[in-house]
Amino acid sequence: MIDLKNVTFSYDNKMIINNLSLNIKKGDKIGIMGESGSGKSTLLKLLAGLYRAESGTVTVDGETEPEAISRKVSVVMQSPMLLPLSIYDNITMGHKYPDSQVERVVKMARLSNWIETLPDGLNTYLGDRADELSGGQAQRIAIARAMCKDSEVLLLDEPASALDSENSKSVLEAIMDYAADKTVVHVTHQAQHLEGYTRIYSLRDGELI
Amino acid sequence: MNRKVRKILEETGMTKDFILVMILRAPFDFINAILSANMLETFIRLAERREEGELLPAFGMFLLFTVIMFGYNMFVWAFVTMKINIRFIKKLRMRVYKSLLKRTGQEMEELSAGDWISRLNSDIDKTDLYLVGPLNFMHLLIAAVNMTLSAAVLFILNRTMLAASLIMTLPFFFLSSVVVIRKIPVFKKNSREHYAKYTNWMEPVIAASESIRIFDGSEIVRAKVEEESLKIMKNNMKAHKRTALASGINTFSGMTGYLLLLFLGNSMMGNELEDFARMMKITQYRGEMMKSVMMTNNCIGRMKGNLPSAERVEEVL
Repeated sequence: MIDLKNVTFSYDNKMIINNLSLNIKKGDKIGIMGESGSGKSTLLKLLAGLYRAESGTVTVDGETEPEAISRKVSVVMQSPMLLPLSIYDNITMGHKYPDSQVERVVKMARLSNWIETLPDGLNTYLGDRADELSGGQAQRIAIARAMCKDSEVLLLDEPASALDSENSKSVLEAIMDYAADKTVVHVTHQAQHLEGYTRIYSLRDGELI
Repeated sequence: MNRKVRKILEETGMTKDFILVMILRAPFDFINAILSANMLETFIRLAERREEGELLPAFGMFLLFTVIMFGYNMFVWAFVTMKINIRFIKKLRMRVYKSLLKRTGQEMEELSAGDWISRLNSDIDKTDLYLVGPLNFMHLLIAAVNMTLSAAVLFILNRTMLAASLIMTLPFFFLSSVVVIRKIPVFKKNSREHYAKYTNWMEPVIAASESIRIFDGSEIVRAKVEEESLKIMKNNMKAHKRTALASGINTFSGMTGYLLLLFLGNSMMGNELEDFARMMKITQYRGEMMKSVMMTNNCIGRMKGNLPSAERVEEVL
């Protein structure tokens, strides 16, 4: 499903990823740990097609071009980036998904209870008030967005690091319930977030250990 | 001057400076009118009396006055007005930022980021335009002085001509400034609000560019940005149409007035009530009056366009 061969990437003349190779099979749950600045977010962005490797190849679901890779993956970032749109549009990003699918992901992302309290429900306009949402609510919308795209590959960049322990547990449970049959790569510096993962690596000096 | 703009001047402590600029600039067009009218009359009289030898000294004298006039205007514009203008912008920006930094988080959340950004940038620039920009308040004042004094001179020179000019001017002036231009601030206010919404999109588009790419959201973002951009354009176009219509009314009024003047002037000269040189002088003052009316109309239109921005700045203060 994911194959990295001798991938190298540097930034400002500093080697971030050094000749890294990794093979991930369909349905694998891979955890990558590392200190801040160790390059784990860079690695995730290479896997998401947001960066192009300087050398080596990144193959995701048969695609090698970054733009094509981006179409094949879903990503949940550390800080959820919401747009001044309705909750519905933030989840679907303007794509036409069946209502049943949107309702399903809203439920899976554990947004239902909160949305029911809103007068306009899913059509509530976040607009410039996106920052009034709690971190948990915003992150759940971002998760629902990733679930709605329903890619085979789910990439997680510390999705729960900015949340309190209760929200963090709930968000991670929601993700794992959804991603039971997906290929997951989760980068974090918190080992407890990687319970039950197939393999856990540590990223140091641009290399996986 | 609008009450809110006066308040902005008071808040920045620039009222006296602006009064100085107004006093220095206000008489320019009228002095220029006196110069042109007298020059024309003098040249025609010298030609009629076949005193060709006097033409050159007269020309030299008027040239000297003209140079002094333009030198004066350039000095006032380039040194006094510019300096005061720069100080005003600097003080206004500081004052707006100071007021902003005093606000609580809750107060800041009352407006969107885009709204704040547009108030801090383009609205301040438009407030400045309102005060000293071309065909705004300063030119309105110059035009008003020129119009009033030219009308007063016409009153002394030939009351029939003044009455004819006023009959052909005032109805069109009111039609243009009261009926046509009245709606411009509404369109401009709408335009500013959509501009704030448009600006609101800049931050998320930059900050969420990766999410937009991953989730292929460029289409919905483009559609929303285009929607706001179109609303800005539509409102600006509506305001622009009104300005163009007002300008058309002014031109029509000017042309018909001129034809009436030619007709009246011809019959007055035919009846030897006025000679050619004096008629040219009268025409010159009437021209200045008309020019000032048109300028006043244009200024009112543009000021109305910039006023919503000044009001938005005043709200922050």
